[in-house]
Amino acid sequence: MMNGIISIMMAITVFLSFIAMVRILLFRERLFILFKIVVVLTMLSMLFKALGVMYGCKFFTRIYLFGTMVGMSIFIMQLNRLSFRSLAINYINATLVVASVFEIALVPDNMIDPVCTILPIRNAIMTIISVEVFILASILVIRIHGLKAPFGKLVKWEEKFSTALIVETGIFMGISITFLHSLFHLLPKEMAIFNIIAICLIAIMLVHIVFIVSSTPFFVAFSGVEAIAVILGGVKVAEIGHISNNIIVALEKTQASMIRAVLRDKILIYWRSTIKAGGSIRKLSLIILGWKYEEPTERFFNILSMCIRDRISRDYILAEKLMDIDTLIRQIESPIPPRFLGEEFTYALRKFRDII
Amino acid sequence: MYIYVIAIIVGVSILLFSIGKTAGVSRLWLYGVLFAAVVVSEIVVFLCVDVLAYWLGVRVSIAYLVGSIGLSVLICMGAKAAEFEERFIIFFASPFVILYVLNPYVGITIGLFLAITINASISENIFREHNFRGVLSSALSGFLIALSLITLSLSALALSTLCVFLYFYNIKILKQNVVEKEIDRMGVYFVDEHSENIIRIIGLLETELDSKVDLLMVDGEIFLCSDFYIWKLDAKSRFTHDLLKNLHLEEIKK
Repeated sequence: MMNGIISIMMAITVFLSFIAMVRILLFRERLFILFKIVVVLTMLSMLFKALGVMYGCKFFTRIYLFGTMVGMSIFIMQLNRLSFRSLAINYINATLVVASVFEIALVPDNMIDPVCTILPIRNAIMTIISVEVFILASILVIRIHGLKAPFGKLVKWEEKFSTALIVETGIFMGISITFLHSLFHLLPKEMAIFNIIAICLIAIMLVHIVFIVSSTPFFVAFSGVEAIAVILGGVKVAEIGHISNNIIVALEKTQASMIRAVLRDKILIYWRSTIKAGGSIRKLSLIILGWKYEEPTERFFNILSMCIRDRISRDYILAEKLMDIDTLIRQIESPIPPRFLGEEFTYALRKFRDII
Repeated sequence: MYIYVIAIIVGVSILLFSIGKTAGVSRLWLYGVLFAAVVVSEIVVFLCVDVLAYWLGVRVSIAYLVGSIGLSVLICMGAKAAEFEERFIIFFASPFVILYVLNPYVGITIGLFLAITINASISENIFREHNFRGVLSSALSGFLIALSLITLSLSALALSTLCVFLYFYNIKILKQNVVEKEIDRMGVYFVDEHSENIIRIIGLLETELDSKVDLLMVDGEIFLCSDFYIWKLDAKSRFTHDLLKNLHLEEIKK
């Protein structure tokens, strides 16, 4: 009976991991490359786990234990890359993993059980890692919620979907604490069933995370774009996020037509042009402000600024949309970001993914 | 054989540390301490005065533990100071060098992977600017990596990590080549109207965005900024792009 449950659960887990692997490998995105490694590593670990259970091989089980530890620490590394970007967190986690690798490699065979292995150091470290995952996931979700106001519909769906991440990482934390607790209290048979259910739950969590990550709104939240402002004739006609009026006034006063500032943690792009249509000449400016994450996101900013510039120029010259005073007033007064900015964002993202 | 390798490493380290000093590398003493920890640990093992500890029934060499930890921190320091894109991965992978204590082959393999990653970036950057210097630095780092592979020595890996000093030295020369004009930001010397506008934009951005401007491009003019000076760079120089790739290096702000 128990063996039957374990086999069915293992089959479901391997199947889910396989779905997650296919989905993430089809996703062309360098910013989330570590997620790809995690998913592939998980898939391989699950296979080793299944082989270990089938053949009762301790060596395969040791590989599974090692693979899951490395996978979890890479998962934290990815969350860290999107939140704190702290190198120290990476180093400390890797050191913890090394300590657990020592234990996995050195413990005698009688402590390794292919169905359910609980090792004191490994499980203590797993609990620490699960707490870290929970904290980092909460920070990401808070950030997505914070972006709802400026980005409007672009992250609306993502906001609800991401909240589930907190529940899932909370479950993962609970599972890890139960494992640690079982070292002193629970029976091996109970733990074997709990273990297989826990692995299945983690696989479901993995599939969910893969689908979150590969969505466009997730990139919107973590591309680093903080604010975009379009200024026509000295008047701010469209805005996503917030750019201080002092910056706008100061940049408008300069005679420069192109300014690009790279700050320690931010990037600012300012572009200005004059547009002639219907006998009138107007000054058109665009400001993009974003967090400086990595080289690819810098490239994304450039593509985005080009897309918006082209769109505005096209609209102004061909359809003279921005000259329409009613539209202008509506856009200035409306708290919702204009539709064309959202459209250009999606288009720029598609272009960016074609290039990388 | 083993002690001869250590002798070669110590000898060559003089060259690299002197280059580091010339390049004005910050916290050079810390690099020295970590490198010495690796070398001394290997000498201790060679002289058979090592202390062994027992953990889970296996003998663990304390000297190798200290040496491998020293190497892992040294690799992280090198990668962080050089601001390579790969540093995020290097910080994750470097503690795995400590597995040297458990199995030298595993430790050395991981160490080699890290050393090759760092040295490939160093050589790539030097090559862009100067082919001959690139060949020389590649030859030196290649020799050290090969030496560590042959002798399973940590100290050769540690020294290959110190090749990052060659990179800093190269950056220093690069900066001298591309700076066209130096603008005093502290107001000690007189500046013209154009320079004053640039200072004003930088000041405004720093105040409003609560950050430090590293680079400012205004209509094709390029300005590199530190706390005290702003350097106008030669936009036509082929070396300018290479310098801009290293914006966050402390060495170019001096």
